[in-house]
Amino acid sequence: MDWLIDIVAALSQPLRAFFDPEERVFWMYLPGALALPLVMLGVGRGFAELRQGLLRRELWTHPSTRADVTLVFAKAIVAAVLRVPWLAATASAALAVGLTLHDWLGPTGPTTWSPGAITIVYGVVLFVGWDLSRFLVHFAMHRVRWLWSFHQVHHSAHVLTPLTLYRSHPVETVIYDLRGLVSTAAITGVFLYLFPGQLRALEILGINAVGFVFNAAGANLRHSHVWLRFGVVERWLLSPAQHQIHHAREAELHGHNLGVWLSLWDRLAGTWAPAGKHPPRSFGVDGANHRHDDVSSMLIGPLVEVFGRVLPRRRRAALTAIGVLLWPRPSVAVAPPVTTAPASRNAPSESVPEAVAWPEDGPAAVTDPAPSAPPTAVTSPTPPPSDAPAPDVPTPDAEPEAGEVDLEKSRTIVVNSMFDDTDVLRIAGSAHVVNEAELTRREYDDVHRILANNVPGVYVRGEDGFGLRPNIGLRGGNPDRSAKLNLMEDGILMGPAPYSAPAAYYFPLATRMVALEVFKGPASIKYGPNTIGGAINLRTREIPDTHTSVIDLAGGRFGYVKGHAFYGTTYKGFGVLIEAARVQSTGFKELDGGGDTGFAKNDAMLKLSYRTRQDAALRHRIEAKVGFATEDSDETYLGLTRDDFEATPYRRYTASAQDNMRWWRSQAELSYVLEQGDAIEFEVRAYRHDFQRTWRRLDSIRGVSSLSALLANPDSGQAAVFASVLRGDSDSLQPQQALLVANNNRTFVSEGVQSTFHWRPRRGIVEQDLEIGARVHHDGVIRHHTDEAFLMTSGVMVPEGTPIEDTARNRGEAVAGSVHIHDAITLWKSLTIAPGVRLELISLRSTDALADERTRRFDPAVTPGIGASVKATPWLAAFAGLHRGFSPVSPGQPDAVKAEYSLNYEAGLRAVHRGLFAEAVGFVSDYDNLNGVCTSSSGCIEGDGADLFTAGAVLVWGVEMLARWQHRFEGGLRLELGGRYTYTGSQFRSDFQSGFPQWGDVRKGFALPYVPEHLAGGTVAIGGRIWEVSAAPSYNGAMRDVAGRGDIPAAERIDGFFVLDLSAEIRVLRKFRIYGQVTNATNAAYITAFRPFGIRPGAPLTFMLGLKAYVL
Amino acid sequence: MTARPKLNPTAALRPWLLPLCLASVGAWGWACQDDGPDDSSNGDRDDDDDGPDDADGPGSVTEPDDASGRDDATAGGSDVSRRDVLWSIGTRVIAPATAEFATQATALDAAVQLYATRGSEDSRAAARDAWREAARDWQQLEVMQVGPAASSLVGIGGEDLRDAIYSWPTTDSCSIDRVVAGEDYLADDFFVTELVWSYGLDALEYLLFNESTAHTCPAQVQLDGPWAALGTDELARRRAAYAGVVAGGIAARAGELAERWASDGGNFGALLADQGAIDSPYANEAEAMDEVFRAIFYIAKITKDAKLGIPIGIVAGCSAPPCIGLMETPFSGDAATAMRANLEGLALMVKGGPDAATADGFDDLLRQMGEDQIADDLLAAIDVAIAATEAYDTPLQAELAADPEALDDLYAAIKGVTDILKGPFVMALMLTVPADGGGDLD
Repeated sequence: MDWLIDIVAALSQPLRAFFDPEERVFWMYLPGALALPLVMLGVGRGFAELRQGLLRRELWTHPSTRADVTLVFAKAIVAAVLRVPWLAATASAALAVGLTLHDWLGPTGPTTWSPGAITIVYGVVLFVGWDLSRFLVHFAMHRVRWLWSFHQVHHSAHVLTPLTLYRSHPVETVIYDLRGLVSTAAITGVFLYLFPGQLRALEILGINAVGFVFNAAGANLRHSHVWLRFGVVERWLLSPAQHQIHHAREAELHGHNLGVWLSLWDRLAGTWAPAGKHPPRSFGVDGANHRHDDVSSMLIGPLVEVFGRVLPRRRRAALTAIGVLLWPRPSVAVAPPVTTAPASRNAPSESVPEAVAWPEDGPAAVTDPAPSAPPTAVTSPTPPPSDAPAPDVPTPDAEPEAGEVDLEKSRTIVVNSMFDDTDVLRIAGSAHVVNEAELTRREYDDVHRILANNVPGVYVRGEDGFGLRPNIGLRGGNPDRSAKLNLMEDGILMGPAPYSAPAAYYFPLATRMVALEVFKGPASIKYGPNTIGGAINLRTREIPDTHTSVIDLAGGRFGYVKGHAFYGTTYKGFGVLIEAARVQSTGFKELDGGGDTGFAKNDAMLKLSYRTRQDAALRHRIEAKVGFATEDSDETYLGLTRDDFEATPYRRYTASAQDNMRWWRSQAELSYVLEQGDAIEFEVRAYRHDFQRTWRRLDSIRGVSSLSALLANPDSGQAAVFASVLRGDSDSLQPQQALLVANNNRTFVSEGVQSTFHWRPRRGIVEQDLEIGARVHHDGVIRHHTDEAFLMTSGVMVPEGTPIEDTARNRGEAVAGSVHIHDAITLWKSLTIAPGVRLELISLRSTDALADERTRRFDPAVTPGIGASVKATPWLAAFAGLHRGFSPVSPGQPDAVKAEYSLNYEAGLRAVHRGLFAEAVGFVSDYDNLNGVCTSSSGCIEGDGADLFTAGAVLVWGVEMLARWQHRFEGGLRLELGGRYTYTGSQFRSDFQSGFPQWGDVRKGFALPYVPEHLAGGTVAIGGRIWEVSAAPSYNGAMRDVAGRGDIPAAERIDGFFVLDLSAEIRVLRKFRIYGQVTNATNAAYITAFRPFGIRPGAPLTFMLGLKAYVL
Repeated sequence: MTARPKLNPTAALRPWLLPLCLASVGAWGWACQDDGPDDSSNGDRDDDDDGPDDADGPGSVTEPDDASGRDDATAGGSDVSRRDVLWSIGTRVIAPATAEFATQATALDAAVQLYATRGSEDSRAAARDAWREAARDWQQLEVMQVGPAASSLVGIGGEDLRDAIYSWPTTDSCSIDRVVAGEDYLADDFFVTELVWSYGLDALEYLLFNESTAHTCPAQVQLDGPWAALGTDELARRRAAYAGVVAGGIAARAGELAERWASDGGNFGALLADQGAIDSPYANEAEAMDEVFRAIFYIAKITKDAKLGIPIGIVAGCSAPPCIGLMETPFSGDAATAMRANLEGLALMVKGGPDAATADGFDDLLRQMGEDQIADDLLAAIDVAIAATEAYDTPLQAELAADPEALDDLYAAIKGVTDILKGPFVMALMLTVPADGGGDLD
């Protein structure tokens, strides 16, 4: 908690300035500021002056002042982080100066000066020295180009208050502090040398008496609108009015009156100007390198300018070329700031700030700049209106200017693409989109990383480090094999057999997707059958309108190679898109005895379409999509013991040497869309997916019923022998020590026809989006599993010679019909109510050839839901929803096993303001009966097809928060900051004992396993028009391996882990983009799970470098 | 056309909804939190009210039903509870058996130490006899692997004490040869660094009964040179000395096991019966019953399958039957005795003790349920199987070598027992058949 205390202390630091005599705003100086006008101008006029120039409400509520205050606090935090001990450093430096002088010049003789005289002389010299040094630095600030970049921040204040003193860039503050150090140390050092032992600490480093007097005598009026002149005295002492002239908006006045207390320096330098009768008309600075009154802009803008100017061009180019782009620079496409005439700056923001026209314009001149959000400063989180069926996600082909791809497009954070023409504040429920821009930024191939780094409320359980077998859960749903979700590609269920065997062994290459959509609230009832967890929809590329082709090649650590290309065009209504991708890696795990632990995935897709004229009232479109994908991966379920993980986290035991998964998958889809105007849309789609997989993998040791238990406790008794055999250290000497390698062969089919009808009438204050959908679906799985025994012999697995055993021969089949109706009714463009209902009729059949059993069952399910949102203000909306969750059982379950049902509630707030998007959602999932599916991947040891375990009532609740802020500075610099946090609580609501290994002996109140209480993450991205660097830290809180309560026992605790991913990209030429990615940049070794068998490590540091060429 | 957007007149009202929504969300969260473990304050198992003697509090366990004078009342099977059975098995079967074995192990240790010191044939014969005595007692305990003796892989509260005393079928004579060649048994941490196949009754059998002076390691171990350098006398001396170390280890572990079960020691029998006790590893009575059943299911998985089924080729594991080398006690030839002891141990567990008058066993439970037939059939089948083990004059290895079908009858007899255990017995008592791995999905 130290950091919290530090932050609080830092934030309270500015407040302490009022009680610090060294600060100009020290409370004792304030009466002087109030008294001086009264003394000099008389009570009446003095009071009027004070009222108008210092005490007027508008001055203190002006955005400029607000920015001053914000900057003070921002800098306080920076100062707390840097913790520069100025006082100690000054004392040390002074002593060093004194000692150096002593060394050089020898000891001084005894002085005859009295201590009082020494103190006075010292005080005066210090005062003059300080004043001179401040003048010199201030002079430099106005004359040296790069210093002026920083000093502009101080001058950009439109309104002057005593707090404006603190409106300065941190770099300037540091320079001034250094100045203080140098000048004080030099002067004090000399006095220490001249009068050793006669300067007391208070006198050396305490308040300078002369400065005290000047501060008390109205120095606070320097930054105010109190027009107080000193007349002829101004030739010696600078008046507040003179300093106000220095702040005048007119550029030629900036260079005058650079001193603080004494006029002498200005007069010597020729920069002195007397105060006239009238104050300047306005304050500020034209053509500043930052947005006025925008603190972040104040902090970043000067840096951008400085590094754009100070670094020699050649070096910049070199830095740019190697992608070390930590130093931002302005885009070449934008007019260089400041050095050109202010008139050439056309950024809309420049027209926005309202200078305080003082005092002639009167109080009304201080206008409220709140509605002045610069339209181009940030991209609106609202999706662009779209009439065409094309996605709202930008694609390179949609943009003739390939160079503009993605980076300049909306970094839209959260939209519901199903409501393309609806603004985000009207969405009645949770919906998140990871768009192509974000996908391109990270170039992730692992869907786990994509989701975990973008969407709150998503739990992923890493398994292989590549995301080949995704384990994704939403809102507490069991992530095992993502089986509790509706996984869709282009709105069509894509699981191998979504009803009879939904485990996600197939997953497409994320690299060819252009968006990921996540639906968690009532919206998920449109996408059955699983309405508990929600839905994830992957969107593939649309057929482009013009010739478009892209080639993407990348290589990296662990033999990573990616090749990805597509070409597409549309000619006279006929469109074609062909796309292919391959990703491979030799794997990051080190197999004992050598061998690959990686994978190769291929994925190809062809789309053909014909569409009628898009400007006609009635539009038709027909599209065919075929795809083929393969995977060959040396993946295993075998993990590590804890000791082995700690010694060599990426080791793989030799007993997994045989392990290999191969699959192929074909898809064929045909769709027809009819649209009439904007109001009617009818779509019908037919699909068939075939999937065949064979996974050969270590399943068990004959004498050990659970490898998971063995690896959890591998050191005593026979367990030590079995573990030794797994490692290849001991031979299999007994049949009990034989390694059983499963060869699990499964063939899946999934086919069906689905149709949706949209009607979007608008009458008066009422807008509607009525959706009626229906689907007839059939899927099935045929399983043929065998076990073959091997003997570990001198570290090599040799066949035992015993017959291969059939362990499963069964099939499951589902026929399902579903209908849903959903209506989003919007009143006054601000109140949206979205009721809906889904009906599923599921008929299941199973045949078990080994047990000679056949079963049938029929499960009807009605899942209603309703969502509502209220757009309370133009930037804030509240929403809430309620829906019934449902998750079907798989074929072969006895009637006693009930389908999973729940009641899901959610409520939240969503804000969109300027570049900020923020969302907070509370959710509750109240399960009637939670089911656990017994599979090897979940650690089960005798799953016979799809055994279900029922946990009864379970409550899951939590909060998801997401905030993202993006801002574009002048010069094209773009900054994006984001944060995510998810809290999840869960409770079993009854006592029970379960054979499901992740539950075990459960008591009421136990929490669910593999649901971390805390998930957090963030994004920091900075970029210009042609480059970007970004960082994505994420934290996954500690998880339980087995249900429990309170502190997690060490044996069941998966510690929280922190992962930092970095990415960078640069467009070197108009059509070439170089990108780089580092995942797990800290190379943290962390555990993602204890399942399926033993400890699974997360991937270590990986990096890759790629080139994307927009050929056409 | 005005530049300023027209304000919606209702906009002013809407902010009212915000605090409302916020309050709702907050109340919701609060309600959920409060829905928590309100009635089970600490999560200890004490809140389980189905365990007996809750009133006694944790750690205070007593004999069931007022131990004084209730024995007669339940003798013969009337009014027997599951807890009675667990209690009886713990205190009247396993605890005395571990104590008896501890005595035998001490005797064995003494005999082997004598042999280690003298190295004479007489002393070796005495040591062999002592081994046979101890092994026979241990074979009864093989079906009683509950609690400390159980495997940590499968047994609840298992501490692998059994493996330290007897690890068959996890044996490796080559490892023993290597220890002999390197005199590793002299190391202080011998029992820590070596795997279980280098010590225990199985290793001791090899050291005491193996007449061969050749080593048993494959070529790649490269033991030929060191082994040849030993010489016959030194080999005999080292084997005897090693045997002494192993026997000492067995005695120590046996003492430890007995202490864990002793009523004046760990009193594990009480923990077995009273799952509410704070030290009991069992969540409830059903779990404890399943653990006892898992222990006696040894008869099926090990006695029937590993000791007989695999060698004769009925059960997977032998690529070219018969696999005589996979049989138990290859050097002492006591396989039949061992199986008989297993069955005797099973009978004790089923009956709940040696004295039918005082014992509460599974048979009593079955009779009380009116399932006399199952109890009778099971005990009869055990008797038949015991008789079958006595039908062989020569070691079973020799029998099988002479006739590959020689042991089929014995297998069938034991299968007669396990069929009842797996079928009617389990169903009547609602027990769980232990998982045997394989056949799973992914």
